[in-house]
Amino acid sequence: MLEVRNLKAYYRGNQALKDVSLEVNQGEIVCLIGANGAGKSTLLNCISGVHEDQAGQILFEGADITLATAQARVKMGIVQVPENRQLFGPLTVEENLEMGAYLRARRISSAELNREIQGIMERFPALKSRGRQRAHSLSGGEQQMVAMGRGLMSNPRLLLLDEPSLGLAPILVREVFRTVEELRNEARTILLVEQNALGALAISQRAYVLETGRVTLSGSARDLAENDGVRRAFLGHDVLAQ
Amino acid sequence: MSSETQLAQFIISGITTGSIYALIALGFCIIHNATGIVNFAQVDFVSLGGLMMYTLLLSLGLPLILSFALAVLTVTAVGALVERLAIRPARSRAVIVLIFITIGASIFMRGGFKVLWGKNQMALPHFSGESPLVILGAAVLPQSLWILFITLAVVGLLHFFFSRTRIGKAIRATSYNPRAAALMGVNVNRMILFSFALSGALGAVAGIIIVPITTLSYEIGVMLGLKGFAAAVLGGYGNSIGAVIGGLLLGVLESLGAGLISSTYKDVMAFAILVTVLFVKPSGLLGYGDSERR
Ligand SMILES: Nc1ncnc2c1ncn2[C@@H]1O[C@H](COP(=O)(O)OP(=O)(O)O)[C@@H](O)[C@H]1O
Ligand SMILES: [Mg+2]
Repeated sequence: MLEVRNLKAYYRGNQALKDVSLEVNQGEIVCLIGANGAGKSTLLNCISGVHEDQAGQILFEGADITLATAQARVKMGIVQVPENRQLFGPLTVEENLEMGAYLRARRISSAELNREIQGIMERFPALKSRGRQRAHSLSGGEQQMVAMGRGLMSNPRLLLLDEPSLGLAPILVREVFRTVEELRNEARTILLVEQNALGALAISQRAYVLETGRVTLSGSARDLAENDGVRRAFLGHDVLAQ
Repeated sequence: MSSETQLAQFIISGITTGSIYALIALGFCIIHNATGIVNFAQVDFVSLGGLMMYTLLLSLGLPLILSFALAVLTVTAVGALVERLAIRPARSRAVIVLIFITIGASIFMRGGFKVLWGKNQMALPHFSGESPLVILGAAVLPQSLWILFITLAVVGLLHFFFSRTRIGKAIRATSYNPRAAALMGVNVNRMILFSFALSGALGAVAGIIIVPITTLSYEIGVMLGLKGFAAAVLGGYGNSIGAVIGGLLLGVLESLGAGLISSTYKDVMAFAILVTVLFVKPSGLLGYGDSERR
């Protein structure tokens, strides 16, 4: 479904991605793990078309989208839920969700839009009574739900999730991962970026390890979870905690 | 004249000019929220509104309403052109660079106006007669009522636009978080373009409705624009409710100051008020707008 070939990305001449190649197939959860600063967010931004300074090739369903605008990619169904939620803080929860459907809003009726917003509220019951509240007044967990809900309002086929469990309490982390699995069961394809490697590998089919801008390991999620290097580098803390 | 009716007179004339400051201040706010910059060309949007009205109404003899609409449309287009030709092509996104570009655009436009319309003072007729109505004992020009009515209508329309329409909400979303807006498929450049166009329209309306009760020249917008800027800072730069309150407050205080103390210091008054408020509360009366800028 998605194919990234030899992707390079730069920040004012500093190279953040070095010939990254990866693939995501229809119906998979693929996770991308790596330490802080490895280049995970940069990679997602390249795929979303919001990082300008890049070279290489990105294909979506066989079509070359390397030069496509961010807008065109959202239309094709490539949707990112960014790191740290990035909500529109002063807008209400409902308005945030509505912004997710920005490109579709011209084609659907407002009744339909409201139905979809209600659907998101059903999926995340904690948001039910919060529709009219400003997004920045919500707790971290609720904000993450709004961010995921906003992404879902774009009707994504490929969902790019950037550290959705970041900064959440363990019980909420489990809920986020459960939601991600549900989404896969609803025929969405997911590229999941996580530092919580154990949790992410447990729900993924395949995984890539990114280190300082390079893919250093890849394979089935099960194999990587067993891999000594991975365990030492990323799972140490988690394993000890078990 | 009793002192009460005198007071009413000052307040009504203050609200009239204050409405103009409010409209101009809103123009400053909208562009600030979209780009983080101060758009100095805003003052020339005001001038151009009046100048276009003069040409359409008096030189071409078009009907009032048509002239009004065409003048607003022209300045709306000019606002969009400033963004398209001066702001967007800039190689730098640095706020200070973009502000200097708007200063350049302002100087360029004012030079153009001087060539096209000359340096003379001009006058526009009032919209509907000049015989004052008596309200609360004060004599009120029908034009003042037009100004109040049109300002109210514009503020109402703006509110509707930003709170109810898809594009209005997208402009707000973009001002709060341009990166996230881009990820939702919003064309951020287009939102900035719309913001400039909208500010052009606001400036034009301000210029068109005030000119009948002042005089018109190629630089009529400069002093009005500076006051509008002061009003925006007074209310909390980028805060639209603050812009309206700041505009009205500035107009009324200025009018009271001129009437009760001395009209010599009328223009100084606005800036004295501004400096005083900023000493006490640097973020303005209502605090900065909540645009989150890099
Ligand atoms: N806006 C930026 N300007 C300059 N360098 C950046 C910027 N964003 C990220 N970087 C650098 O690019 C590298 C990759 O960052 P990022 O993609 O955010 O990593 P990750 O998401 O894996 O933590 C890091 O070295 C980081 O310092
Ligand atoms: Mg990151």
